Amino acid sequence: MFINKYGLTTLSYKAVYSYQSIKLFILFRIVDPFMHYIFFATLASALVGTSYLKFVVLGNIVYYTCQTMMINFINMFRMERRYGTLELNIASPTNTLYVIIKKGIVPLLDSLFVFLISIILGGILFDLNLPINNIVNIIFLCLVTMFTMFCFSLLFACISLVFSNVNLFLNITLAFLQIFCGVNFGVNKLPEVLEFISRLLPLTHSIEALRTIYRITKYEVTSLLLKELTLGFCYLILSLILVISMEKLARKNGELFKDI
Amino acid sequence: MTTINWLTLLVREIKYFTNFENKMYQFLLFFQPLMFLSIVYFLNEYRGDINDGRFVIASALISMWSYVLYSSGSALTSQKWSDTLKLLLVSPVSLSAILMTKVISNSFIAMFSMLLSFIYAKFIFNFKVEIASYTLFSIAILVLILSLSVMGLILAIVFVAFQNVYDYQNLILTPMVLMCGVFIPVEQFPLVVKVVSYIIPMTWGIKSVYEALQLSSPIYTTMTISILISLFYLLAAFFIIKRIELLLRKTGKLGAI
Repeated sequence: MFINKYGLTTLSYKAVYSYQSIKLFILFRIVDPFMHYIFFATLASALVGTSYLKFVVLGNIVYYTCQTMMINFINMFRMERRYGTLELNIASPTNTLYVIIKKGIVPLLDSLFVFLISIILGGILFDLNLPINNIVNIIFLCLVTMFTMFCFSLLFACISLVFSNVNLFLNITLAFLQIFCGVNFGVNKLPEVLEFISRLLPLTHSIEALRTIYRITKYEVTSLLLKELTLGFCYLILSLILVISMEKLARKNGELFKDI
Repeated sequence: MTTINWLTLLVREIKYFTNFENKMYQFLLFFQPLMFLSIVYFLNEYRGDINDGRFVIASALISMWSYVLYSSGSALTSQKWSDTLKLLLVSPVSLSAILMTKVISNSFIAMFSMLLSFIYAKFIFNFKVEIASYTLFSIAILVLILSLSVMGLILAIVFVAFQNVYDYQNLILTPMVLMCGVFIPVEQFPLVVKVVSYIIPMTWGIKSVYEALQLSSPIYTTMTISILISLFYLLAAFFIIKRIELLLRKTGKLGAI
């Protein structure tokens, strides 16, 4: 069903996916994550020593996966707006949400690839040996994290339509996630109010769960993933409300936002 | 080009890129230092005895380099996109003078992010940045600006000379930060990496700043090497730009433009 040559997923991939050649794909989906991990691993090593390296790399694996998903989503919406197909999506008899979900398969698969390759890279370069006896937890974590990231990215991409400079909004959001989701340090180091906020963000619990699976921290994995899943559903509901409201607004006014 | 023209161009470039209406580089200049300082601040909680000054400067250097890479790298190609390259080529000012103005102004703007890093470090994070000699530190910053300008010039040429380099600029960012000794001193690298690092002008500019911060003894030697290497690249870049200008006037196209 998904490999329909003229389906929405394939057409969306052909139209807006940035890295369609093998060279670009290797560079941006293997080399770039690798450089990202090396960068933060070096930063952490220089600051607090090599004993902390695995902690940082695992946090950044989840972060980079989310970054891939968000950039893909935002790119999809931006291109739709640039080529004027956003209006066509709304005007078409197909349900808008169905269109978005079908097109969202490309970001989902892209991020999944990044996550898997990062786990392999982590094993080869940072001695992060995959705990085979915990494989069920890893699969569960992967599914839950992808779902929550997907819902959050959808919400984020909808909000991005309000901004005239999407890049600035994207970069600030990514920086916000870097700091408040415990990517490089535990969220327990944050002041209480900020820790509370961080527990409402999509990556925090997944990062803690991944570190626990790799025996770096000691938390209850199932409980963390259930919290992450609940957050995912909350983001899904919010994004659904936003998509439906924006669609209604667009149908009523004949445009989405003026002067953007 | 008269000095006054050159200065006017410089001031205009600085005004344009630091204007809040221009959102293009706001993240790099204003938010990125804040992000890195936050990471340094909270990582410091794990150890507590971090050399604050060095990491405040490291945070600033990342933003400075990012800004130079994205702004100076596309100094000429962006003129092509906005269709003003033809005007520049037929103007009575040489291409090298225009490019020099752009890369110097970009390096000065990049310096704002260093100033901002110090302000954030002092007033938000309460970091203690102890500068042994302000005079020497200021000279080292000027040396760094020279090396950043030269790097910008090299990038501008590379971005013009080769097709699609612009697509790969994100991939240049991180390796350069790592290789120029922003976090770990170049002396600790393997020999091959060390050799490559030492031929990058920015390595010496960064080394000068770190040495000026702690008043390390080889500071004058490092600054001299930094200036000499920068001048060498500057001279080479000047001749290459002359050649690019000639080719552009003759054929109307070259590499990416």
